[in-house]
Amino acid sequence: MLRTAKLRGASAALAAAVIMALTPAVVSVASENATDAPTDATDTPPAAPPTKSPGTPPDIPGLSSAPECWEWVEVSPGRHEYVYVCETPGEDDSGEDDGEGEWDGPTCDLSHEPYSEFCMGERACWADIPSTIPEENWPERGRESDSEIFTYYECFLPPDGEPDGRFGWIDPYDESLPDEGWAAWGKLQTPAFTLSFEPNELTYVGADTRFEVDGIGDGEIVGGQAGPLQAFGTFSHVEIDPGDSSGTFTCDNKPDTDDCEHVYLETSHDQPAQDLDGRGAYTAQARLVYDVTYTLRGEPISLPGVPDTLESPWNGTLVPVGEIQVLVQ
Amino acid sequence: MDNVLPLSGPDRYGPCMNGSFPRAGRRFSVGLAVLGFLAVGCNADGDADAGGSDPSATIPVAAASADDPETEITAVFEAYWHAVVQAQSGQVADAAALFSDIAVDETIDENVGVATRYEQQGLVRVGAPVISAVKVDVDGRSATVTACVDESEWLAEVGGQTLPPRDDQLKPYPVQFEMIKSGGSWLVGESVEPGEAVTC
Repeated sequence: MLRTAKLRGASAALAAAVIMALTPAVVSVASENATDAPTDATDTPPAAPPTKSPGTPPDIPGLSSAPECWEWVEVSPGRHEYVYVCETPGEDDSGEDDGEGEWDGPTCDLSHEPYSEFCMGERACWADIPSTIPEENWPERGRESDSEIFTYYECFLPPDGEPDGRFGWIDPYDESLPDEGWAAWGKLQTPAFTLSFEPNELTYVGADTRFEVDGIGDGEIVGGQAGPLQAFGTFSHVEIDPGDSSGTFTCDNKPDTDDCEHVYLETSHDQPAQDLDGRGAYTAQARLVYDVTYTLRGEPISLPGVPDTLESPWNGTLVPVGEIQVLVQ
Repeated sequence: MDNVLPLSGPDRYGPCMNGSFPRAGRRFSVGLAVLGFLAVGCNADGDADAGGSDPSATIPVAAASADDPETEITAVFEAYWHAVVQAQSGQVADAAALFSDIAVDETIDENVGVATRYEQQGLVRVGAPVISAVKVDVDGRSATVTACVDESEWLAEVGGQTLPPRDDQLKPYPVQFEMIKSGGSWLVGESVEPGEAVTC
């Protein structure tokens, strides 16, 4: 029977025995049509696999049973698995040397395929990089830095250690695809833009103040090459902070929609910022938000854990807001 | 058949909507219930059962008919879930043997991997999932099975302590598996994304 390299030797790890006081799980099949009788489940029972011998304690390597240390993760479509997300006792995942001397090479023997990708201490490892698990399915806990990804990895201690595979957080090694993805993302540059508003120069309490961003161009930005990867940005929307503490809102910056409009409820005469005419003004700001995609040698690639959005720096303008006086005679 | 309780998923959760299938073929709908009982739970007669009976003593499998691929596929799917429950129960030494003649190698590897990791981490699953709204879609030598899986009563224990199910674990979720015809028999293939059209 064929076995993928991922789980090679895994069955051999089934050494510990634990007997649980369970009655048999029972399976039945019944048609959704109530007139169909349930299938007789006693006809062809398959051969029973060997059960574990009683009396041998379970192999619990000091993992906490605290609920917050376990996540129920969809590791592949429709397949969920409990994953330990707390630090494993006694596990050295640093993969780095002790910092003494100038040697900066691997800390393990990477000559044993497929355990040839990176080190965790003295253990040699490989991992699913990029992760095959969509980022939205990653556990909420256990991530120690933005660069870490949640994926399957497998390690062993050369020369004859037992392979140990699991799902968990790892920091991708240098020049791995996620690492290059971050570099490609960092090479994207958002365009310079200006923020303006109408009515021009002065708006009024209660009026529809329309913001407009100029400088987006065709909405596409292209980053430089990072190894085999390249990042592309597509304009998504504008975030606007009108400066009156009402909060940020988003708009598409299209002339035929009104989602870039804002109504100021108070004048700006007591604001510390002043426009060129010396009038108190709100400091409105905007930034551009892009959706980011990646290509590997020209072909699209998904890189879970690497940013898929990019925000420009904030850029602002002063918005004086006056009040229309109505005289009643 | 004392231990079989034909609990239908829709009775508990309402009918599952079934969306479009990737292949146009005959469809066959069944309700599949996988029931497990904790030692402190009930047996099929409703009696308290504190015994640690052998989980491999009975693995009921529906009779398969070579002339009826839907029935055969349903039986294999039923046996597959039974094997999954057994493999993660912490009571079976050879998890791969459970899936022999039931699943393709990749699916066996996945399940053996889960069982191995659970064993190494001291985690066992108790109880069983409820599988409902099983639909088989056959198209020649290929097929798909969609179903709803409810794991709310299939709990995890670590060090004798039960992990409380997470909120998203309390709701049934859709699954879809490829079924592969191999040597005259159907095997459970890899799970695939069921798509948003399939809801539970």
